[in-house]
Amino acid sequence: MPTYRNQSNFALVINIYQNKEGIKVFGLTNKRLSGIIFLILIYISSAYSQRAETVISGKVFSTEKGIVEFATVYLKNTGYGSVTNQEGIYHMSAKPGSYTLVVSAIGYETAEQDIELLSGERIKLNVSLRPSVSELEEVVVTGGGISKINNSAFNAVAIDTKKLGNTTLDLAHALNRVSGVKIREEGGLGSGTQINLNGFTGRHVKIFIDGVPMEGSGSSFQLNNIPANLADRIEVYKGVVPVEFGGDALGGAINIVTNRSSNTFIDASYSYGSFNTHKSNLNLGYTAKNGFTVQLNAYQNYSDNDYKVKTRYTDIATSSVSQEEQWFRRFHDRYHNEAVILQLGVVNKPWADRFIIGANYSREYAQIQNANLMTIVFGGKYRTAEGLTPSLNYEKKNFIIKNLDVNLSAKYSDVLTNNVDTVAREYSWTGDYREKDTQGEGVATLAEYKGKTAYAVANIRYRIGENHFFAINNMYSNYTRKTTNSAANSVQSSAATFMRRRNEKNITGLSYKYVSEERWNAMLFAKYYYSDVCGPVNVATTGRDQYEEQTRTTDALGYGFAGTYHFSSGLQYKLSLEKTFRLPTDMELFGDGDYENGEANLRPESSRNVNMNFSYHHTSDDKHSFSFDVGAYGRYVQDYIIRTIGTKGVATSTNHGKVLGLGGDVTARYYYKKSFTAGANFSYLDMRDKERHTAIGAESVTYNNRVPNLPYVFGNADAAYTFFKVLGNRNTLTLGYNFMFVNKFFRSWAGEGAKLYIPRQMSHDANITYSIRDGRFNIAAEAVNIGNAILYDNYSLQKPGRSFSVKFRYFFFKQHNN
Amino acid sequence: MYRTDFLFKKCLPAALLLSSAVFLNSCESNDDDFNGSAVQTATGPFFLAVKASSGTEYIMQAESLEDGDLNISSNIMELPQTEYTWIFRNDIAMGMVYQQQFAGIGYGFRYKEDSSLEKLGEFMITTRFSNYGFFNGQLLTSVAGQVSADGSRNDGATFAFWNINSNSVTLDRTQTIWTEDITGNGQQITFSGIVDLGNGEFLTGMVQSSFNQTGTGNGSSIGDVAYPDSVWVARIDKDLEIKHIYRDDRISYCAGQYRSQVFSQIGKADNGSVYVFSGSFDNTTSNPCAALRILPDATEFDQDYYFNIENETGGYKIRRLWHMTGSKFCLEIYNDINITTITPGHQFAIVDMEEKSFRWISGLPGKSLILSGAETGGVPMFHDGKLYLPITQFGEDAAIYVVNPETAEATKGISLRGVYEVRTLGHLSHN
Repeated sequence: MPTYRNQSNFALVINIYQNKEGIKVFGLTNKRLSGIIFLILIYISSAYSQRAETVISGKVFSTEKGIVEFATVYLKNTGYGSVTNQEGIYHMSAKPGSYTLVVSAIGYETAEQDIELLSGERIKLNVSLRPSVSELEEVVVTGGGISKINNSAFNAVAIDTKKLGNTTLDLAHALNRVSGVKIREEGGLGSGTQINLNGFTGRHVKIFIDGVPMEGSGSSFQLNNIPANLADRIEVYKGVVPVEFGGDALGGAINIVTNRSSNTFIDASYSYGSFNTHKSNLNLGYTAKNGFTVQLNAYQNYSDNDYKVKTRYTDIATSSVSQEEQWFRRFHDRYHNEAVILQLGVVNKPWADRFIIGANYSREYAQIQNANLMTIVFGGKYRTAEGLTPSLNYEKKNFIIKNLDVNLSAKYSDVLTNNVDTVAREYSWTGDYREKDTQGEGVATLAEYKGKTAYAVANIRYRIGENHFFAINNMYSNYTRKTTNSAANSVQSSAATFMRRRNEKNITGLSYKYVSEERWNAMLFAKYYYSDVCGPVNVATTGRDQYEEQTRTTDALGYGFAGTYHFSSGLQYKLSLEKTFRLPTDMELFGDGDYENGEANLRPESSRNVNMNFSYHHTSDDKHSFSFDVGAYGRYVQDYIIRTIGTKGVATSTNHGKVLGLGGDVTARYYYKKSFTAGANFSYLDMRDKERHTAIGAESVTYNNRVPNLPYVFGNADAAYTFFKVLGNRNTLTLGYNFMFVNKFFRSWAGEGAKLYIPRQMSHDANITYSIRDGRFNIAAEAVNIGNAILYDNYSLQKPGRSFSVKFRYFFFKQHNN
Repeated sequence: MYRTDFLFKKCLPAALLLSSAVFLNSCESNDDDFNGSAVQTATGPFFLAVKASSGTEYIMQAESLEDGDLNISSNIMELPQTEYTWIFRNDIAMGMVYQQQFAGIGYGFRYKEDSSLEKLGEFMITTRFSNYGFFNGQLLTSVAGQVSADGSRNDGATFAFWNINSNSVTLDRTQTIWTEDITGNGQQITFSGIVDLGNGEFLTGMVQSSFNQTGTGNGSSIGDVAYPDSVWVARIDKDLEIKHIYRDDRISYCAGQYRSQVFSQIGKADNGSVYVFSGSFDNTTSNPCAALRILPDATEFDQDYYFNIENETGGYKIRRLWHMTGSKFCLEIYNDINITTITPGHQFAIVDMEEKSFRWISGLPGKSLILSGAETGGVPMFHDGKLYLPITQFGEDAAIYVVNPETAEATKGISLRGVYEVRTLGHLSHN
């Protein structure tokens, strides 16, 4: 019985056929899909059907090491061109004649060479590229990873976080500059942070560190408290996610790639800024000649977060809330976190390219200043968290047989979270308080939760010849959560609160990629999702509650296509499609085991994602360089899992709701030599409710409404200028500027007559960096939110005003040639 | 080369300019539709606190509830929090809220001469409440199971007294009484219901229980009940001094329960008699769901009065109840004979306590089709000789049913387009 619904322009996606037993079978015979693939093939083949007799091929090398993937190779002022594949090899054909062969790649100087093509000849020409010399890049090798992601068939962006080394940004703020990504913060340093990616958020976006999910790491090790220096680059996959990332994400994935180079380096920095904010960071790496490698990352963030907020004020004598707003300094919002990551192992051994054992310890302390409405203020509530994560990584290229690459990772996280509310006081925004007879500013609690998560990821790739790439990926995760002590008087807890919840998932991905010798590649992939969830269920039929542990399983099969075509001289076209799933969680399947019913027959949420991108990169006469990327996407989400009240009177999770999202991102960047760069990105999202009926079957008043509480128009712009030879030959001075914009959006649905909204935000940041001796010593000063704008990402929760900081950084890097 | 230079020098700035123009234009296009504060788009004496399917709560006003349609988009205010409890007195509507972990922002409204609502101000509710009512010209709330400041005991019942002034709502005071010693049984007490006697004293039901429910970490404030076959009612003065305790063994305790909420099962008739109901919520009691009476100025339950309601319902028990007029009450009755803390009550009856007459309300959707009132919403209102009962039926918008108290016949009144559930209903007047 086909479940295909013909109501969107997402008809391009392969359909699932579901038989009565609920087993899903691939429906590959779908006519629309084959039609589309056929069209793509026709299109691609017509693009190079006018072959001439002369064939030119070769390899593009870097002068420093290895091959250069995705380099653009073309004959100047002609339509002839190609792109190097993952082996650095290019092929193209052209009519006989005299040409200039141009080879360019991001991070390298463009090479040109005059060639003469004679009829019927086959020319083999290898080209070496020199890394482009910028003052910082002399010591940091520009990652081939960046261009690999940006040039892949996926709607993906990679950010080179090494360039952010002199800023005080954390990973979340680094991500905030990517098109289509919006970070929403509840306050200052360490506050709750949410990532919106093309309209998806929360559990619909999966975050990975080096390909291993970050879920379960605890609040002390999150994007909002990890310094950008920890990462080499951040990869953002919008919509379609490669099989290497075994996650049940509907809306995309973010992968943080840490420094994996086997080099010797020291990166030490300290910054001090407004609101008594101290951040320090130490990264050390050493690799011996015999392959022994050690890497240590340690960092610390501390802030009083005592920025001023404009809010209404409660008179503690009368509990009456003022009508007018006043400015108050935050007085109970101190945050600090500390983390140490140690990795030991060997590299470049016959049995392992890389074998690393690591451990990550992190902890945090967060005072809680206000509730989800800023008017409600606290003076004693706080939260602590502590996490320990041992990990293992093994990588080997040509494992046993040639062209078989293996990558295995495993980690285990043990996280303890503690929420404390025991103060017998009632505070006002002035910091004054009134003594109370009873404990707790809210409901008195000392609640403690333990979460244990285990992950194992295996990734195997096999290549046949230079054209066929196979990959299989398996991700297993096992998450257990237990409330260990609710202490005090947590009113709504019950026996179920103390029973364990286990969520076991296995996601297997399979992909086949064909990399043409010409300018295109295409990939087909499938992912099988399976989860086994165990939790408490109230089985009482009368009187007091009685609990029993039960197990439920769900599975789903997702699939997709990704293809790209490189036109000559820098234009690239990408198309990717996927049907993807998000499996129900233990809470959704079991409720809270108490007052909320679970629904054993919940289907996974599903989304059909389509992405189309055009990107253009052009470098002219070594002075001007320009890149432009425009992407359009569609998301059709079905079977949203929502909480509703059923006829039995109990809250329950049901599959309900369809949402259609159409959007686009535009990014443009311009470079003038190495001195000047300016860029801007703009994102627009139109995400609408396409469900005509409410969960109880009444006609919906929100049909075709914009999904509320979601930023839908936003953008960034930046510019930087570098002066060279400032007070010394190897010293530079860089001035930088950033602009951020988010349009106003409502908190609830327009059709309901929503009135509360999150106002438009605009903010400006500026920075100045002085680098001495090619970036070995750096001093940077930053001003954030220069205009002191009142900024909100969430209703009522004001973010910090203007702040200043200064950062000192020492950076030493020694490249190894082994 | 020349061409690319041209591209950069001429087209690029133009493109950037164009895109920023588009960018800024799109910012301007969707400017202030609403200013976020109360926008008066509808007026009328009927005050409806409603919940949309999304869970967001709004306030609506209506001129009449008898018939027609009203769209949720004509609401006058979006509330920032959810699960508000509203109570009404003359021209005042007060909304209180307390969330799981922290305080709530309450609202006071006054009904103006021009039939619009004026905000009396907001107030911070830092003391959780499971019990509330008007007493001695003030709004009184209480909550049990509070932990002492030094953490040594957890039998505190905290009362909050609120003044409703002409332009604000202010907290007069809070007071915690320690309840373990009140009856001498060594158990804590949860107070349920506030019946203003008009002489500076109020009656309230007392539920005696241990601190925790067996088998749980820390249950709701009502734990295991050691004496499920007895009822206690306290007469308390404005200083929270317990003046008298009424006790009887004919019924179980006088309180309903849903999650950590406590439902009042005590109410005063117009002639001053106080009817004390017991929903027999605790399944260990041997007493049926029934009611007793305390006559004005009496010091004990009326020994000649006993009304076995369970006999009338055919075994079903009462969940919530509301006084209508005279000695008539509206009863919300559980759907099932065997109940748990989450069993809904979607059957309704009108009882005349004086006459001991019982009549099911007819003309409503079947009990299994009703969705409203499963949590704490769906609160009806008696006005001008009629009972207005909010009902949400599966597959439909919320509606108000108008019930004739004499015949107990209900007819469908106004439909509320886009409303999932009417939480509370009130009629405001200028006198």
